Amino acid sequence: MKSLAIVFRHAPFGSTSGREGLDVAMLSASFEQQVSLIFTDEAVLHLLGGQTPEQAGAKDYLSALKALPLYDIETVLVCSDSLQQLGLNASELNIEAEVVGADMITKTLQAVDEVLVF
Amino acid sequence: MILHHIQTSALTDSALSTCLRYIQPNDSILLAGDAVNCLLQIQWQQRLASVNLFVLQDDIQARGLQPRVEAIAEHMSAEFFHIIDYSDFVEQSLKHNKVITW
Amino acid sequence: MVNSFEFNGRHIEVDHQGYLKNVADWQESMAPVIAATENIELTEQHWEVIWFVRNFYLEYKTSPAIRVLVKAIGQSLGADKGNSKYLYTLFPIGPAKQATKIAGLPKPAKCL
Repeated sequence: MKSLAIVFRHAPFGSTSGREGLDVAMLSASFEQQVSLIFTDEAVLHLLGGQTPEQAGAKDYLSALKALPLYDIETVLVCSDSLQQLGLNASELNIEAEVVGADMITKTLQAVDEVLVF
Repeated sequence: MILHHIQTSALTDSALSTCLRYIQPNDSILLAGDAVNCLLQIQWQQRLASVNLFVLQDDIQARGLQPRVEAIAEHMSAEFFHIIDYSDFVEQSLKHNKVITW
Repeated sequence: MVNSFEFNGRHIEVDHQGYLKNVADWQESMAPVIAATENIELTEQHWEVIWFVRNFYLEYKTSPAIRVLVKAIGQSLGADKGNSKYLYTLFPIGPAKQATKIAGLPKPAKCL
């Protein structure tokens, strides 16, 4: 079993990268890889509640975030600097996630076997 | 020990600054494609001064930037600044534990 | 290539493998028709799984892959149903593949 960290760094809907990253995450987890997700920069906006992706012309891939525990994806890290930059609070996050400092993310990137950035 | 591979311009994409937020002292950065342009900017020269840096020669030559980058390199530490070709890139990818393409 | 079949006087679009193009086109009475193309006669046990995947899709907007289906069914319907042996008895070719098709959902992208 390989450990894999998937980093999301782009805002939702403006590109398909968030959706692609989530597809890779769920696919890898279905193949029993150990997957961690890391949300940084504007990608932290994926985790806000009350979004209507279809209104922005995007497919609703955010609903699948709620299924992550069923895929055994238990580690979801959110960069606290990025939240702060955008004036967001940990309490506003729509899914179970750990708000962590940059050092924790650095540690995770070092520890896993592979890192993919979306 | 990670090789951080940056391909996008620092003026249009946050890849380089995001990578710098999570970099470790043992890690290196490889600038390729439009990412090499950041070397022209003094603030990036300063932020990258203490990072082990690789720059892909084809990409600076293609942009006509070789003389400028060489002049800039003189102000940077020779120990940290390397202009490399593709075979060096492969070698570095193997030397590092993993490559992250930002 | 657009395929379709007739159902109650309407054209229902499907992909080349017979999965409905539009989730909203599906209705309960359509399930036995799709099931017949898979040589499955629906029982109460089948329906339980079909409603389960249908609701899974409506909540998460994604069709569950087999491993996830097994786990999720185990959590809500019990371990005797949340195992691949039971599910393969109902849907011999592949529970995720066949149950999503009969439930009018897209094919799970991660289906083995």
